[in-house]
Amino acid sequence: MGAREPESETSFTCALCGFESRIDYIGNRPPWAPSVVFRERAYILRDPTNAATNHPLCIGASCSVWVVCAAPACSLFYTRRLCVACQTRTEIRLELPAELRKG
Amino acid sequence: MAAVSPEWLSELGSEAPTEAQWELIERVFFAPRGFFADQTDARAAAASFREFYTHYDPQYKLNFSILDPAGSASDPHGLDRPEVSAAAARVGLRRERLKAVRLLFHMHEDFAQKKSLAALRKSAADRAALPVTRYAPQLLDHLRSGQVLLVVGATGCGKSTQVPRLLLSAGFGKVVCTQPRRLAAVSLARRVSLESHCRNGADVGHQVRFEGVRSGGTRLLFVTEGVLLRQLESDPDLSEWDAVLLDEVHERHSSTDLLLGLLRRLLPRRPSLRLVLMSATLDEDALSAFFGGAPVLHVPGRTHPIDVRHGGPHRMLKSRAKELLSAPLLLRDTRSSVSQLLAPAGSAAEYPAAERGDALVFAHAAASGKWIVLPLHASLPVEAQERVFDVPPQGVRKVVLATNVAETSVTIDGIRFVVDSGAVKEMSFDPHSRLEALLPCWILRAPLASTVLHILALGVADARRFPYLSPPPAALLDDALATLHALGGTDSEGRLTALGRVLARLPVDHHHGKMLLLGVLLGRASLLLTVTAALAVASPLGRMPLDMATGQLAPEAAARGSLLSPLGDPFTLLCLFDGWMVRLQYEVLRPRDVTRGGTAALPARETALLQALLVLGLYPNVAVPDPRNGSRSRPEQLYHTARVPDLLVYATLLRTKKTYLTGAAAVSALPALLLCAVRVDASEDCTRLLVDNWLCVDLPSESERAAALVGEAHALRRGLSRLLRARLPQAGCEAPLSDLPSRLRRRLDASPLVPLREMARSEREPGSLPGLDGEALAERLAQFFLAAPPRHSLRSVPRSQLASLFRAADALQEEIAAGRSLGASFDACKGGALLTPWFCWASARAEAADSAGYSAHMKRHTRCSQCGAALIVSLAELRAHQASEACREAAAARAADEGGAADEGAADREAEGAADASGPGQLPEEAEGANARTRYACDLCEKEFLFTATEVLRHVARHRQEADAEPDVG
Repeated sequence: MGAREPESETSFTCALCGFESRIDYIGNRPPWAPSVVFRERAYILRDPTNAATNHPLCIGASCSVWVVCAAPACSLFYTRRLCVACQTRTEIRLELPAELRKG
Repeated sequence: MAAVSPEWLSELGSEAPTEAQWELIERVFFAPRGFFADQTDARAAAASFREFYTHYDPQYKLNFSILDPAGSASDPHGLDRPEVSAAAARVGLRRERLKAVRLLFHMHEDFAQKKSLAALRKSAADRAALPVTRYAPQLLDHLRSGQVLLVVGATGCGKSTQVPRLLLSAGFGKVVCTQPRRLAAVSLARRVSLESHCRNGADVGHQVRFEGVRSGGTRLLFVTEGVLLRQLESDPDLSEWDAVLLDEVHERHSSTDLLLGLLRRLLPRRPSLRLVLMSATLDEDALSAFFGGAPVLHVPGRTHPIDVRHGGPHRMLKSRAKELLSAPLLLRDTRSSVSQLLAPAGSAAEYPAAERGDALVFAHAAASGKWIVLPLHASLPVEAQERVFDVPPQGVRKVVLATNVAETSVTIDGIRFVVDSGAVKEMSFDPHSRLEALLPCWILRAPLASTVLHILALGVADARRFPYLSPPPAALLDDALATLHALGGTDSEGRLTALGRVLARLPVDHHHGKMLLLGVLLGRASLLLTVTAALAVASPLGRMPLDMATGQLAPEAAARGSLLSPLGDPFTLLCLFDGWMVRLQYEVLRPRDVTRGGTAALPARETALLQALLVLGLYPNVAVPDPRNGSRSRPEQLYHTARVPDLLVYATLLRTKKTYLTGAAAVSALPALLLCAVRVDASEDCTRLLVDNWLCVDLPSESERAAALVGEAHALRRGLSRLLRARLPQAGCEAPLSDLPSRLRRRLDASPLVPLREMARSEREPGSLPGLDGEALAERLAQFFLAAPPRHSLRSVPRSQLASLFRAADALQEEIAAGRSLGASFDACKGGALLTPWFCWASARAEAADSAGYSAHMKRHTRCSQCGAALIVSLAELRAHQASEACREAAAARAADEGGAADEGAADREAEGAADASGPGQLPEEAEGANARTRYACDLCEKEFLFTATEVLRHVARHRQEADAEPDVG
């Protein structure tokens, strides 16, 4: 959980589905929610669907190839971010526990 | 909360899961690895990367961790903190299961994250499918090259949500978007902020009349039209905004038109400003021309295919409409009515209950098991309105019963069926009677007066020359200006006064504004706040249930009995409010702490004062009963009180099937009229007062008391205007009036009516009337309304009769003939002198008997008051007769005969002579046209006749015929 990263980017685009969004923060520890720590460099929004709370909402992160959104259609997280493209690659797919393998 | 226990523990509540529940949890979530069985730390077990992947552990699916702020480095989750252990022990949670609870909480949070993200992706996908998205590049091109753009697109093409967002993301700076309705502004702000992934209030906000969500960083603001107008008042250049969007321009509310006019004036001054007009249907040519040929962008198509099914007038609707409307909502068996209502949509059979399919019903009022019924109309509080956007639980559908507020610019997700009765009730305004009608017709939607008030407040010198998109008829404008003048908002030339400026700033109706303002000045702020607030919203009481057969009040009405005040609606509303307050106190406090009693106990003095303030605020909304009402076959006036009041003051005149006065209160007529009228014309002895050219008050033989009342009214008016002047910023000082015409001045000096003389003097010598402080003035006002008025009769004067009631210029024709200056205080149209700007003395004719109910040239049976002769004459003829020698001789003879009666006759004559300055022997020149008879002395036959113009011609013609015939005979 290193030093807080500056907001170098202000927008997010999923490399797979094209989902676009503005973002409030990129990094592990959103400054407005000190008790939350992300285990990856996440693209974070203040949750717009829930105006009452200040929940940080992770909308995406980088896998080893590109930036993808966090929706199950595009990526999954299991100790690290894996995009669907990576998941389907044979060598990675075989390493995944059976519970996480897709079709 | 984190100070005591970590966030995740607080979620646990007061009860830990039972053993059986734990088994289930373990089986579902952790079974593969037996998470709790070995209690080993999976992290320690997973020594290698490969280990992670072969032994599935759900906690590695989480990409985040929630720490305990009070936790230490060795114990980041606070599991070992004593407070946490204590909290766990309290709910009976074993130490080793704390970890599992923490994990469950994390998994729930993970689920919530996925749900939120799914919602965002869904809305992005929906957005991409909107027709208007395809036109985004064109739209931005137009705006980069020109200042104004019109966007026309059908309902559902997404223009209301997407165009503002586009402008925001394309970098047009700060954008303001107007909506005709509060609900639309609020819901759009919510939706657009969600779509642009902002929290409401940060980048995207809304501002409506009494509430708003915005911050310093707000770059897109949804407002109601009224709010933007108010901004224009304080900042005519709108320097805060770089782009203005007007939505639903086709609705053409008065405020829309006003904004269009103002923005057109503004555009040349602000070349960087961009203006976008959006509408479903638009008279684009007219509007484009109004903005100098602005480009029009058509957006065809809509998002969803719509399947329209027409149902006949539904039986249920007909038979139950009454019930639905009159019954307290949702109390009857409404479940069956909803399913019947939706039967035409065939929803029950064709659409399985498991599917989502909410219904939107446009109805006049709201009417439920598998249905959640939500009303949606403008008078609901915002929180209640927002409930319609909530998603019902699975298997339950919501029915939104909406008025036409939901028709445009409001998107309710999940709506699948729309039931529209096709009927709409719209508030319109008839300028001629100041009557608001709830009818399916389209006249002009708002009283022009408030619009005009705003135009003036925006610095437009002449409201008549403002660039209206479609100018209102001149008569309408005049009426609006007259209303404002009566309120004191404008002076007689239509310029805004200091009071008007304040009224324009107050976000309430101008009538209510004035009431409030005076209430505050007189130290009755809280009372007036209650009354005006109650008058401003729709009455909480439905229509009085009348038994149609007997015309009597139905038994249900008795329940309201104790709350109804015989004094009128404002007082009833006060009683209601007070009753509610007492009730509220009982709920919150212990009974012995309840302090306030009912307002039924409002002292007589306060009641009178409130009446005075009501009249001052609501004038010219006054009504008098029609004396012939009782003799009509179907009485048109119904009163809910036993006593018919002589004057009613009302808030609005509402026409549904019948015409209603709402917010009506009975007031004492004479004080009310004297205090508020724009113009009172009095006869010389004050026994007749003509008020604002439509009401006539007769006070036979009450000359002294009438004059005293007028004097008091004058003092009160002065007191009020002093008080206003002292408290309002930039109030100019009053100019003293010019001198009275000399002849009238002499007559006034000779008059026994001292108060009138005082009144004229005080207007011309400033400072001669002592000022009054608020409390003293309130006291005098109350006394003015409390005092028993002198015996009087009040009637409305038809227009045709009006001219005959004024003396016109005849009183002063000698002076006009002599070319003497009469000064500004002389009213040349009506005759008489303006003692004060509102009181004109000696302009009304005093003779009560001869003109009542008849127009000037109608002949009728009359008995001459002087000689007692029976005549069939018109008014002019009667006057000629009374001036003739014959009448005088006969009257003298009659006086000699009848002794006592002669005194009366002489007194009459005296009054007559004083009132009618034309004097004996001279015939008044009446402007009554060809039908009036004048004396005609024929030169040929050397006789005198009373002839009309036609008769004179006929007479002359006969002489000629005779002259022609003579030679033949000879």
